[in-house]
Amino acid sequence: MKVTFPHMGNCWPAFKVLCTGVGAEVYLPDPNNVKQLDAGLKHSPEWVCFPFKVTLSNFIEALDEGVDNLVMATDCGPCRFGFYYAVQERILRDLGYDFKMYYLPQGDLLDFKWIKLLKALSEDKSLLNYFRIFRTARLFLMKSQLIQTVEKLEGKIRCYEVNKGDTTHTLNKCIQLIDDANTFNELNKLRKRIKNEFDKIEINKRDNNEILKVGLSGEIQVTLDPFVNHDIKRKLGELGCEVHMNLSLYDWIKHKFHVNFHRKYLEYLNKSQKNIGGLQMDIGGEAFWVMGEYIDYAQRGFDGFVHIYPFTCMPEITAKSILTKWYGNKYFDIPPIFFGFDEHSGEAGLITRLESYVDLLKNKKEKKNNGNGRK
Amino acid sequence: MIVIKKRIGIPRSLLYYKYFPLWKTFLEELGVEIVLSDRTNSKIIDIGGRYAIDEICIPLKLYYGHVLNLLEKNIDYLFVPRYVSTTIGTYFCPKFLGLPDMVRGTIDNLPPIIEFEVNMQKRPMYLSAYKLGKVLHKSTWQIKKAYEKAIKDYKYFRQLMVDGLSFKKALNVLNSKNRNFKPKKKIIDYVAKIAIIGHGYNVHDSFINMNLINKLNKMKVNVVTLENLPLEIFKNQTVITNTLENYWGNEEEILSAVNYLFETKDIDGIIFICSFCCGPDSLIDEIMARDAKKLKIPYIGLVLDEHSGQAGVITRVEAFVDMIVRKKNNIRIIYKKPTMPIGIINKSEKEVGAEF
Amino acid sequence: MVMAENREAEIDKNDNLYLGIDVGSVSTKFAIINDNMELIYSTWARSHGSPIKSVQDGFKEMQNDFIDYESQIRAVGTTGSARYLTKALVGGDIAKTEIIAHAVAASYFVPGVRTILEIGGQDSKVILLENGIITDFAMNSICAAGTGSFLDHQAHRLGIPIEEFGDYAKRSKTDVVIAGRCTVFAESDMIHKQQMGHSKEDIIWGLCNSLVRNYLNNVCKGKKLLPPITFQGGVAANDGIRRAFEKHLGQKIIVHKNFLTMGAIGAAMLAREYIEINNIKTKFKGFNVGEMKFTPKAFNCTDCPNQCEITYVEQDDGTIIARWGDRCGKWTL
Repeated sequence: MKVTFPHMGNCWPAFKVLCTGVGAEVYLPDPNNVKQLDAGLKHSPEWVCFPFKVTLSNFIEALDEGVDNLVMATDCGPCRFGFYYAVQERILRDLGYDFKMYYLPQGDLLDFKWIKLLKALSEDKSLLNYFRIFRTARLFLMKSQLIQTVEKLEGKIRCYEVNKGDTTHTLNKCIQLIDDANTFNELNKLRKRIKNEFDKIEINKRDNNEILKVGLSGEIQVTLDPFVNHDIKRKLGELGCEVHMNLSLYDWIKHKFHVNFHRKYLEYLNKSQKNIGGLQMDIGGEAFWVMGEYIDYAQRGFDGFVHIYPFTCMPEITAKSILTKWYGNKYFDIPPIFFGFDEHSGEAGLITRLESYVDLLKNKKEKKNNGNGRK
Repeated sequence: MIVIKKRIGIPRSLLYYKYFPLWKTFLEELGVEIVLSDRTNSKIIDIGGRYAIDEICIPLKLYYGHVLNLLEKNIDYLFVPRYVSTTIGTYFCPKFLGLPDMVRGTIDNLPPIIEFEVNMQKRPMYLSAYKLGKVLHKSTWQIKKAYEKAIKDYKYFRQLMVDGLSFKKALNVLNSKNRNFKPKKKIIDYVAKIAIIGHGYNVHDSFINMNLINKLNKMKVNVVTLENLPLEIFKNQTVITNTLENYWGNEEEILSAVNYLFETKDIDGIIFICSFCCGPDSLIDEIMARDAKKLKIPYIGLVLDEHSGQAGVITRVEAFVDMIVRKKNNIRIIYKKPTMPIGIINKSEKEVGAEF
Repeated sequence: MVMAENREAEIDKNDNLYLGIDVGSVSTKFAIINDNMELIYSTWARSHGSPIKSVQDGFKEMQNDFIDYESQIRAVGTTGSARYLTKALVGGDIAKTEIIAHAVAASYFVPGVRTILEIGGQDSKVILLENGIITDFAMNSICAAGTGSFLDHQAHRLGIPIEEFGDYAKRSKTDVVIAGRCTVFAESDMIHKQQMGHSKEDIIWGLCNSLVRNYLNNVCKGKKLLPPITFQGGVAANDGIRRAFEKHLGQKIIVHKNFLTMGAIGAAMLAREYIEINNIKTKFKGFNVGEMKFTPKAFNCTDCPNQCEITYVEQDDGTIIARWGDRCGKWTL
C-alpha cells in the first residue's frame, strides 16, 4: 500500500515513520513549491485559508504520481481544519481521482482513535500487530522530539553564525539524520550527535545587549512550514534576532495527550488577564497559547514577538485583535508584529516590514540600555 | 448589585437575529430594561471599522459598531453572552467563542459585561439561563417562571416565522398585545421562488445586504428564508461525508435548509449570502455549490463586505433572476438564424472542455 | 471623443428598427438592428463625464443620420451599470443586466456558443450557456484586478498606448510572473519587475498572463468552460489577452467582430423580444433627447443616521425623471 501525507515543514520524518513503521510504503511529495501550489489554487475555494490550498496541492501531486491512499489529520472544530479532509476529498473526487482517504482524528489523542488509523494502514489483522503499532508510535514521538530539538537550536544559533548558511545546512543535515535513524538505539544516540553538529557551527558570541530576543508563535502549519511563511525564521535570524519558538509538532502532540504543562501554564497566564481580555477558553487554532506566549515573553523581558497565521484564520485573528490593543494600551511592553500569509503575500513587502521591525526593536533596546546607564 | 430596572444594552447584531426573542422575554420578566442599539447604519459601520482590525469579518466589525453605539446610550450593563454551542456536537465559530474577551480586550471604558456561557456540551440551556438569572440576583423561582415564559414566547416566535413572517414582522407581533395573530397567506403571482440562505445577521439586516429581500420582492420573486422552512428539518445533524458530521452551529441550519431544498426541489434558485472573510462559509459554500451543480439547481453565492458597491450585487441578482425566468419559461432567441455565422474571426477546432 | 462606428446593412424605409444602449463605466455603446437582425448602425465611445452626457452625445451623433427613421424605432433596450438612468432618460422599454444582454447577443451571432468571457472596463464576467439558455454565470468579486481600466492604467504607466499592447505582448520572449490578487499588489510587483530590468514586452505579456490567471482562478472557479468560447467586451480588443486565454485554456478563442457592441446589440434584441411578447408600443422619446436639458441635482437625506446622498435628474420642464442613491428605497424612482 502506497500512502502519502501533506508536508508540514521539517516534520516529514516523523509522519513518514508513522506510515513505514506499520509497513506502508510512503510517497513523499516534493517540498511545497510555487509550481505545485498552482494546482491547489486552481481547485480550492477562493476564500479558504492557505494551509488548505497547500495541502491540497500536495495531494494532487501525489495522486498524479499514482498514489491512491491519502492520510490527513483532522480535528473536531471549531476552526476550518476539521473540514479540510472532507472538502478536499470531495474536490479530488470531482476531479476524477480514485483514492482512499484516511484521516487521523487528533482532537484528543487519549481516545486512541489513532490506533484505528495505524491498523488500517498496516493491513495486518494479527494481535501481534499491536506491538508494531506501539513501537511505531514511540518512534514517531522520539523523532518529533528530536525535530523539536533541532528547530529550537536552529532558531537560537543562527544569529551568531559566522559563515552565513551554516545553520541551515546543519538543520537539513540533522533532519536527514533523523529520517535515516530507525531504531530506538540510533535515535537515542542522535540526541548527542545533533548537539555536536550544532556545536560545530562557528559562532561569534556577541554582547547580550546587542542580540535581540524574539518570540515566534502562530498557527502550527504556517509556523512550521518555511515555504508557507517565506522562511521567516531564517530571515529573522539573519537580521540578528535570537528566535525562540516553543511551538512544534512534539509540543502539539504532548498537548493532545494532556501532558503539556508548558501549555497549561500559558493557559493560566491567559486566564489571569481576564480583566483586559485574556482568552478564557480554547477557541481553536493556537490563539489561546499564542496569547499566553505573548504574556510569557513579555514577562521574561523579550524584545519582540512575531505572530504568524494564515490570512483570514479565524482564531488567530481573534488573538491578533486583542494583542494589537494590548500593546496600544501599553499593558505589556513588547511590540508584536503580525503576518498573515497566503498565496498573494509578496516577498518584498515582508522583508521591508521585517527589517523595519528589527530596527524598531534595536532602537528601543538601545534607548532602554542607555536609560539604564549601561552604555 | 443589580437593582431593578437597570438598563441592559443588547447589540443588534450577530445572534441577536436568532436568540433575541428568547432573552428579551427572559430579561423583561426579570424586571430589566432592555436597550437596543440602533439599526445598522453607515455610522455604525464606520465606527466599527475604525475599532476592529482590517482583516476581521464584517459581522464582527458591525458588532463593534453596535457596542460602541450602545455606549452612547447610557447603559448600566452590556449583554455579551459567550455562545459556545447550542446543540450537542456543534460549536460556534472561534470568533463567537472568544467574543466577550475580544470585546473586553479591544474596547475601552466599557460598562460591566454580563457574560455567561451558553454551552450545551456542558450544560442544558436552562442552566445557562439560571446562571444569567443569578448574575441578576434573582430567586430560583423567579428565574424558573421567566425562563418558562421565554421558551413559550420563543416557540411562538419561531412558529410565526415558519408561517411565513419575516424576522422584523414576527418580532412586531411578539411585541404587540394581540397574540392571536394569524398570518394571511399572500397569494401573489410570482415569477420565481428563490431561497435566500445565510446567517440571520446577513439575511435580516437589510443594511448590510442592501435591502435584498425587498428588491427581490419588487422583481416579483417569492422569497423564502431558512426560518420559513419547517422546524423538523433542523433536528438532525447534517452529514458532510460518511465520516464527518458538520460541527459548526451557525452553519448547521444553513446546511439543513439547503439539503432540504435540494431534496424537495421545491425551489427555482438559491442565493447564498455570506460575508467577506467568513471562515466556515468559505468551505460550506464550496460544498453547496458543488451539490447544486450536480442537481442542476441554480445557485449563486453573494459575498458582502462594507466596501462592495450596491451596483455589483444588484447586477448579479438581476441577472440571476433573469436567468431563472428565462430558463423556466424556456426563452431562447427564436428569430431566423443567419445561414452563415457572420463575422467570426476564428472558429474553434478542439472540442475538449477545460475545467476550472 | 473617441468613436468607432460600424454599419453593416443598408437601412430600408419599411424596416422595423430596434435600438440598444449599453452605458458602462468606461464606454457607451449604441446599436440599431433591423428585423433580420442585421446591424444597421453601431458605435462605441469612451465616456467622459456623466452617463447623461455620454448618452446625449451619442444621440446627437445619431440624430444626423436617423432623424428621418425615428418613427420606425419599435423598441429601446438599455443595459450596463447605468441602465436604469438611461432607460428613464431616453424612454426605454426594458433595462436588463449586461450579463443577459451579452449572452442573448452571443447566442445568436456565435451559434452554439457555450462559454462567454466578458471583460469590460470595471468588471469581468463569465457566462455559461446550454442550447442558447444561460445555465450559470459569475462576476469578479470584491476587487477589480484584471479589468479594462486596470490595463489602461498600466499602459499609461508604461507609456504605451493601450492599442499596441497586443503587439508588444507578441514580441515577448520570456515569461515573467507578475503576482498579486489586487490592482495594488500587481502594480507594485510590476514596478518591482521593471526595476529588475525586464523588458517592456515581457512585462506586458506577463501582465496579460497574470490577468488571465486571476480571471480563471477567481471568476471561473468551479466552472467548466466548454467550447465554443467567445471573448467579448472592451478588453477583447487586446490580442495579448486573447492569446493568453488560448494558452491557458488550450482552446481557440472566438472574437466576434462586434465584440465591443455586443451588449448594446443584446439590449436591442431583448427590447424587441419584450415588445413582441407583450405586444406593446415603445415609450421612446425620440432622438431630440440629445437636445433636451437634464440637470443632475443632489441633496442629503437626513431622516436616519445613514445620511444618504440622494441624486436626481430634472428635465427642463421640472419633472424628475430619475432619483437614486438611498439605501432604504424610499426615494428611488
